[in-house]
Amino acid sequence: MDCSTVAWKAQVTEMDDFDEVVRLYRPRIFRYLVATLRDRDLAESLTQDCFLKAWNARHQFRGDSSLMTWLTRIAVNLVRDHARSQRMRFWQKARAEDIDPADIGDWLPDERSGPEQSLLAREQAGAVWDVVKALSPQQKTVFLLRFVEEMDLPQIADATGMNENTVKSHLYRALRTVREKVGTRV
Amino acid sequence: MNREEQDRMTRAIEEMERELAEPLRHFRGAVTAMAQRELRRMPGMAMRSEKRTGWRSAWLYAWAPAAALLVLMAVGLVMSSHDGSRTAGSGGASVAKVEPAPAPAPQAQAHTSAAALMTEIDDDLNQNAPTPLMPLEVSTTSQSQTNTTQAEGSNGVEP
Repeated sequence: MDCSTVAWKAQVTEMDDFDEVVRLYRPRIFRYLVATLRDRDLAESLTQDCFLKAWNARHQFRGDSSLMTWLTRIAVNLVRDHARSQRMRFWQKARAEDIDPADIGDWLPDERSGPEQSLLAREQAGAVWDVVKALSPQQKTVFLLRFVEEMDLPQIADATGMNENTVKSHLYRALRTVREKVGTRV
Repeated sequence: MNREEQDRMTRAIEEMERELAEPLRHFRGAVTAMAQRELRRMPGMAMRSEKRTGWRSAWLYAWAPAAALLVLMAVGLVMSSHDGSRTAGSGGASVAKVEPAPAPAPQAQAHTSAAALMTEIDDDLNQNAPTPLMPLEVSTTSQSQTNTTQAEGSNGVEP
């Protein structure tokens, strides 16, 4: 039995204990969704939808990609569908942004050695958060999957359904924008 | 996009990632901390456990009445045997409290009572229908006749 078969068997077996799948991957899916949507309630709702869809489609999971990539693909599709729906358009008009960019730095765990470093870290985190908001949906998705979920380019391509070159282009543009804006602010 | 452009883009990405490593690390740290804090505030989510609980409760609902019935039967059996032994043993007061059990009837008596019961049923069936169940016309006619008779008797004057 080769490594890929062992990995495949392990992942398919992992799907059998869905409680464990939820426990392991829910924080990551929620993190991606809250960073994308910037709305806690919506992120929570779509996280639930994501695992519900995964549960209903669990028999279709064949272990071709990793479980995280498979779940991320579901989450990415949910965000896309939601953005297209009338509901999202209503929400975009009706609500102010749920998460204040000024607060993002406050969430950083205080591991810096001094107050100056701590302040700098908060400013940097807040600046990136602010710039990411202005990215196009595709750039934002690729950027967040790369730098928040720490996925590599083939995984991002798999999760988003784009080809690797397209992923690379979106990542390049996103990074260039972040460097322009954050470089001048920090 | 040709191969050379791809490589150039890859190198540019790598360079920008190195340059922005610190802000990106802080950004990731902040988003992770925020998500963790929000997750702690959110109610738990259990997909399979809910299903399992559902199964468990369904199983419980299905078997609980049967189990309760069994327990009741067992208690009833124990109590009746207990009462029986008390009746047989002590008599007197306990006998007064408990309704006397019907004496075991002999076979002939059983036949007789069965025959009597059948006769009683036959008699009931052969009886005329009670007044409310009689045909409507008969009932109405008899009622109007009664009213007419009463009116004639009193000559339309109330006593």
